Amino acid sequence: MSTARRFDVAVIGGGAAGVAAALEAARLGASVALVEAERPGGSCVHFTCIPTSVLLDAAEGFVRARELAVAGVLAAGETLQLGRANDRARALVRSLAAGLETSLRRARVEVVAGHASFREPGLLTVAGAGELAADAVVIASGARWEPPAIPGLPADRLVTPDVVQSWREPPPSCLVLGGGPSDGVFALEYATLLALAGSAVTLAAPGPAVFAGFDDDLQPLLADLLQPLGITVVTGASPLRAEGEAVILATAAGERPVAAACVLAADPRVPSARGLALDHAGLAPGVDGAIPVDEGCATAVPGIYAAGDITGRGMLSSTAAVQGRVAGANAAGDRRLARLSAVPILVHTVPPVAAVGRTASDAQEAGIPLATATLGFEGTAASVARGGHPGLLRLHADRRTGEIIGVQAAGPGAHELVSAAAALMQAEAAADQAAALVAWHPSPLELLAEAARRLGG
Amino acid sequence: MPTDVLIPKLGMTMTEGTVAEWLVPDGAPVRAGDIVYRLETEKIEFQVEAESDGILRHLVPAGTTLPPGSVVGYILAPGEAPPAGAPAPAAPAAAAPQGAPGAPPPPPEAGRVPASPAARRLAAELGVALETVLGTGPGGRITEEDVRRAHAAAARPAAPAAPPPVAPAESPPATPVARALARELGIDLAAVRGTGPGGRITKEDVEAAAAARPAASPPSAPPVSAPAAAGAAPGQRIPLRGMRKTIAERMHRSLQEMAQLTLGMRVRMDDALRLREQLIAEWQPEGIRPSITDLIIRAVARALRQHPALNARVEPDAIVLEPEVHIGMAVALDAGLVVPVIRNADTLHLRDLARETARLAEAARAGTLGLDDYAGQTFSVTSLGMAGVEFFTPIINPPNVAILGVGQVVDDIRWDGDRPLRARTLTLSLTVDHRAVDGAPGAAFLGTVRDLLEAPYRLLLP
Repeated sequence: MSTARRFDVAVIGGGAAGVAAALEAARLGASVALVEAERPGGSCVHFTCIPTSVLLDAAEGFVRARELAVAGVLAAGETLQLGRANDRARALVRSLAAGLETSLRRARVEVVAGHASFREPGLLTVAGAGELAADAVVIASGARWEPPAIPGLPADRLVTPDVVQSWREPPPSCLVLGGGPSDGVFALEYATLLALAGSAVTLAAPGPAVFAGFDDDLQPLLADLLQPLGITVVTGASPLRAEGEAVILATAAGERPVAAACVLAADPRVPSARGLALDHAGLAPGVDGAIPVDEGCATAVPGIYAAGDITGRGMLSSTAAVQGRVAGANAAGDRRLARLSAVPILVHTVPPVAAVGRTASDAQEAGIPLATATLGFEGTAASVARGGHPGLLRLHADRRTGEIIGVQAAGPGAHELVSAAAALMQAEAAADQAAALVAWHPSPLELLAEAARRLGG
Repeated sequence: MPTDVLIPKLGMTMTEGTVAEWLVPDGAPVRAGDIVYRLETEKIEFQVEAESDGILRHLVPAGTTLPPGSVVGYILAPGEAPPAGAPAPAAPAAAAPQGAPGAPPPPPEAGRVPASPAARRLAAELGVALETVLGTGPGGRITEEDVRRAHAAAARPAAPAAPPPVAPAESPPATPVARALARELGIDLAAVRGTGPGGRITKEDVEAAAAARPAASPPSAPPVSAPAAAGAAPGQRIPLRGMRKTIAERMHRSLQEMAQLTLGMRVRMDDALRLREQLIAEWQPEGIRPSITDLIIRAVARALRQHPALNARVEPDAIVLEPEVHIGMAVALDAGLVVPVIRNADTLHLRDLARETARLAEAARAGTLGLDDYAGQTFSVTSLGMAGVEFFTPIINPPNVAILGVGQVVDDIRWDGDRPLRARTLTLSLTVDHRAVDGAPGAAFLGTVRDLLEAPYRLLLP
């Protein structure tokens, strides 16, 4: 019988949350083991955020080049090579993953390859690597894809983003299913990518919203924005069954067939603790598969923390990293809270779309009296400087305190606008402070300051 | 060369200054710009900075009063000795040695302090007397920066010559939204624990403090717990706590902080009283009985839309016009009084307003006011008419800039040519914070309220 190797902190899972937890615990002087069955990086680095962003960077470049070609400024080729874009994404992802491994090594985090499972609360078995004992354990096992079954649709026609990332050519047509834990972000992004690569794309949103971060009255505007890319948007639609090359959607107006050489379930992620034997640790996941945690990322069992997708909160890499740092610090004996307010959502469509905070209806439900300003980008210096694209910025503030509570933007610079707004909101700055910002000219931030000034009346 | 530490001449009229407190001990190192001692004059308090790096030597003990220009200490380079025969403290308050190094040169023209135009403008804006400002510009000219410094120094509470027992309370670090919310909810940030980055007080912390408050909060404490002042026996000692303490503190603070001015205006109420009788009859089926105060609150809410300057608060560097009209209504209780708030009173029809004031008064007496019911008034109305008072000087509820008092309706005489007419009138007593509102705009507001009450059908319009 081998004796278990001892660590101060053991982290299960090497994704955004796990790596952050391991690095933070090590920084505080703890000895740390990180158990990961594959390469560190998790789904963010290998399948979701990073490769998707690289692919959409190519898509944006393609659209820009096409626009400039139309204007006669550039004489450029006119096709987006999906296969080459995927190759480029893979190469860039490899370099990022390698960098991550270096950081872990330099922080003296011991990366243990294998699947971990609990034997008891502070004791893990790692398949092929013996036993690990630790004073504290951080569970960061992430989420797994669980695409919905569609009657009549063969398994090889139901794909997830990782499959798209292996394609050399786009399919002739594709039905992209919206929704999912990230407010439909991946659906919008993959619909954009595939449409630009040449597929006939239908985006089916399960609810009334194309992107849940936007107010109801802006939803049609989003659909209009996607139209020029060749995306057909159907809201309130869910797939019923496949018939030949088509999939029948159930909509409020009845059944509607759409061409679907393949169906992309863009973001069907659910928290996953598969194989962890949580019962041996005295933990029971909720019905959604998530392990409940408090604000300090502590589970119901002392000494066991959880962070990232497995907690069912946020389900974003940004929140996972924050939770991971907090869980790692607390596992190493610190006492911190994970603050997950005003998390920005940036959608890499072309043009970009982004939102942070509450929508008008959220605010209404919460009984917050709103002051709202909506600004069109048309004719503004910031927009003209980027080619004169249309766009829109909406700012909601609490009328009582001037707190900025929601910002939504579509159009060039939307990501910068919402990132800046999120920073202001997380620092709990009020609208008058946004109004007093000195922004570079021309730049999107000017629009935020202008919207805040209009709020002031 | 040792650098002299002097009593600076802070203004033309300054004849002496007191080294109130050495802030750097004798023999300790200082850097240029460090605050070396606290200087007090009869007008202001000023912090004197070191002009060079070195070791500070005190020449006089704290508490010494000397004319401007006197040397009170030296800053020595390392290893340097104080000047031989360092003068004993100059004869206190003797002839002021004019033109001593460091003191501004005499003014070029009598009665006019040299200052840049921008500094003059700023001084006027901040209400800083230029004579009290130490000029650091070329030729001792007063710069904008000097005015700002003097303003900040004057804003600090004057301290006794002895070191204050407690360091002036720094306001705890809090996010801007937390500050705004605390103001809105009437939460004292000093009593809130911060959980944000660096211990900052966040919005959530203030909300938690507010949620924890109702149980302990004076205004909603059941009246039985407070000794009823009305029933107190002579010689009894009534502890200052609960609602009484809150009232004591708020009212005292109000008068300490503000420059309050009360204006009275008589209003003819015949038409308003007639309208009230009609409305009482008309709304009786709904159980609504508008009071005189309701009519006045309605008139005030409408008038405030025309006179936003009276619906405001004063911040250290600005007068902030409130975006909404929330009228506080003083309700007397046995144990004191509470001021429940009619939210967005300017948007309420008189009928709804009467319903709301009835609800609030009822809840106030029953001790069931919710947190939302008594926070965030932007203007208050208080009535002593029922108690037979005709005119009084209401005290403003901080952070508002005005409050309106309602007096008793009395039989009065109005002259129609030579003919005396019986008229029913009452007197409105408006107190304004003179820092924000002058007498004339205050009177204009009263005039608008009067006109509305004398032609009261307009109170029924939206």
